[in-house]
Amino acid sequence: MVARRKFATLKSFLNYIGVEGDRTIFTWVSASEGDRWAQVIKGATEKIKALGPASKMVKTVA
Amino acid sequence: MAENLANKEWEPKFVAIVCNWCTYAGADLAGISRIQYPTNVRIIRVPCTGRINPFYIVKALQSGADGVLVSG
Amino acid sequence: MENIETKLREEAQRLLLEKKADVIIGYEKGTLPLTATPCFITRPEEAEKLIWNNLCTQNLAKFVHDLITAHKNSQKRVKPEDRKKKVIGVVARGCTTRSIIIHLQERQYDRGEVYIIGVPCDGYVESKKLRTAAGGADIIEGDMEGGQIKVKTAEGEKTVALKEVLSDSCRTCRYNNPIISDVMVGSPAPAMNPEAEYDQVKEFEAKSIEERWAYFTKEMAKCIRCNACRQACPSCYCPTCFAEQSMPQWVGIGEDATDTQVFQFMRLYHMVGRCVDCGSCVAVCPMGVDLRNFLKKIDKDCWEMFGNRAGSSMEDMPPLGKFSENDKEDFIYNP
Repeated sequence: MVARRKFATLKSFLNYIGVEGDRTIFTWVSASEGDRWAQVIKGATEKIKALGPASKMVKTVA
Repeated sequence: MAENLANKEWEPKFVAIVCNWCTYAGADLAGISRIQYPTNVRIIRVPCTGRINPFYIVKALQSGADGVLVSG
Repeated sequence: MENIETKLREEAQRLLLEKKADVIIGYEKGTLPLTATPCFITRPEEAEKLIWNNLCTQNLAKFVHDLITAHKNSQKRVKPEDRKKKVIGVVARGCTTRSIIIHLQERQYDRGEVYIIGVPCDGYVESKKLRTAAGGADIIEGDMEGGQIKVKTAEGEKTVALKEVLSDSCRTCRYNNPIISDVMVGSPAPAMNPEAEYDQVKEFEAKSIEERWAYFTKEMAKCIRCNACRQACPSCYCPTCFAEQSMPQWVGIGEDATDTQVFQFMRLYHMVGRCVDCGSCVAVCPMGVDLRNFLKKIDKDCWEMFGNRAGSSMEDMPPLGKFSENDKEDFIYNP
């Protein structure tokens, strides 16, 4: 619950500086929702695929 | 990422930071029930979502993750 | 102003004579023209040094925390019955009291350990702005009178309006009078223009994501990682900063651009519900990084999401330390 506030501000701030908000996804899955987990992963994969590879703030090792 | 680019289609790789008691068990259940889901995810288990330092997320992004999923 | 200054000196002298405070933190005349620097006064006769004008820049709450922590550490090896209590007196304007409230909310010290001499504030001069207004050359001499600043540089003399060189934070300040004080010196100052507080943020939010990213990287490329912003910030008081931790090493110490971005991002993010917009970080930055644009966004989020303004009331809890059932959930993903 407290974590919710933490992530709400984090996501908003990441979006503000220019890192796409969709790269950080927050959700709830309970222990009895195996199916929902599969749905979440499917959805998240699609969302991130649409954004393309990450390039912002990524450290390239020389 | 190199092996991804070599392939025909690019597949994202993302980190899922999940709570031991909720989502991790949920993911476990998905495995037990043999539900098919994409393999683009790398799971990190934490004792509680409250344990997650926002730095984990930023650090994952800096280390080249295409996305971060946080689930409680 | 003179009137406030004399009253302030009298008050400081009285506190030290009556032993109500062991040390008083205030401002004295700086060594360079048109500057003021923090000073620590322990003897009543030194109170004459104190000044209060539009050149007093730093947020003194930082030193309150530093002194109290140092004193507590020095008492650790003393038997509990022999431990001495120390009271820190501080000359505080609106933003300084807000920082003190944050320290109190975060249980850094007791209210009794700090004696607040409240002063009204009508903004401080941003030294970088003043320098630009004076033509960019070093200021040799300066004089301030009735809303005008006379500046003498190697290139000649110039008169600058005080209003034009006030810090951005002060122009839109909402709390320019102390929120809590033990004694108040002078009468409350007139209000500034808090309605325009988020104008810059709103403008920035309207830009496209690529433009925002370009601006962020451009600003962060200026940063030389001198940590001056952290040292000046009253809310940055961790004994070991994440930037210096080595187990685990959160952020690289090299000159990699992403390391700088991550360092700044996290330092800014740590200010959720804790930034009082005192402008100290911006004032001390040697490279002129636009930190305020990002800090204001955090402040705006905190106000819009949780209805909290950092350090605006003694009764509040830190916004990230509590929750409400009505918190927004629209950011949570539902497949």
